Amino acid sequence: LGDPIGRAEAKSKSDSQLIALSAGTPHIFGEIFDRHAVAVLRFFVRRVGPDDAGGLMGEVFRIAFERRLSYDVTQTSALPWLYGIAGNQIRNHRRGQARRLGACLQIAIDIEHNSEHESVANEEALDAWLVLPKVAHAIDELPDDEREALLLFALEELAYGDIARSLGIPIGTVRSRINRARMRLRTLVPGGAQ
Amino acid sequence: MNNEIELVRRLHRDAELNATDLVRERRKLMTMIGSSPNDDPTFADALSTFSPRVIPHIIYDDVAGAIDWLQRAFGFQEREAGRVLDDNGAIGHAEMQVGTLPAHGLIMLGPPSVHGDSPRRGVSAMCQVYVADVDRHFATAVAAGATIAVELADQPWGDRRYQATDPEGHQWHFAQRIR
Repeated sequence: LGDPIGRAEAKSKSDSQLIALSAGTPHIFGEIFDRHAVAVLRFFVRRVGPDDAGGLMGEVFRIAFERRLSYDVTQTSALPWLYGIAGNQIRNHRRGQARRLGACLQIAIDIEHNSEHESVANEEALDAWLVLPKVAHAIDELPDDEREALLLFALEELAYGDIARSLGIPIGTVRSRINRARMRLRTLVPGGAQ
Repeated sequence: MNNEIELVRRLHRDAELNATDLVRERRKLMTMIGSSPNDDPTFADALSTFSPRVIPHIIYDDVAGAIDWLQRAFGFQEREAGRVLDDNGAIGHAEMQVGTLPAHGLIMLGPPSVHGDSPRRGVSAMCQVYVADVDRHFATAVAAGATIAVELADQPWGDRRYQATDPEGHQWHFAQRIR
């Protein structure tokens, strides 16, 4: 329909190519949404719960669209860039409300309770179960910069280099933040360092 | 040693992702961009990660009664959003899920309709469901009045399972992987 680039062609391109093309052909940016919306939605569900996650996810893509001209096209995958924008949204969101870890913990408890794949029947699972509220509290008490790096590592399973890109910091700083956060949490783990 | 990372992951394990969030936010984005939102195969693929690809649709004369019983006896949870009432206010369609995500397993329930009725009003299919603790599941089902068609036992292929008949005669097979 007069599109300079067809859908099949769009699929064969990298994120950075699509973002570059979206400068002149804005609707191409829809493909970026399609590739990464689920990951960004999951990012928010894990951090603020399901009620606010959808709106925050949409906002990330609207902000990203507005900033598409400043995208670093040497970065093939747009996901770390999107996580970086999402992280800023989380900080704004947190400022606007009380700590929300309680809600997150409730989700975890509901899921544990209903989980199809695990039961708390064995002792090891029960130990982990008892320690979860402490871990929730400890994560909440982490300095913001350590928590962000740790969660990108543990939840989004990003490599250190991608975490560095998301947060706009050197890779060595990522490593030290994650190590510090892990040390703080490790004291809570059953059988961990005392 | 990754224990603390495992705990972080458990704590933040996903709640149900809401597919309507994706549809709504994509529409907003494309409106802002100035493009008309159209059907999109990639997007449909993304949505499909929220849905099982096989869904048994089971016919009951008393759908409301079945929902209540399937919850009490077998632990299914109704998805409120899935319920559709007919012109008389009776339940024309309902959905129940077995885990925390529809992707874990979903059944649809309805009264006799174009979707079915057994040709001879006999049993023509059975639903197989994997659960976390089949012994506890068995006890709950028996307490709720399920008729046990095949006793709970370990099977040579690594399942522990039983088969039950629900109040309208549907056959249900519940199993747990034991190795």
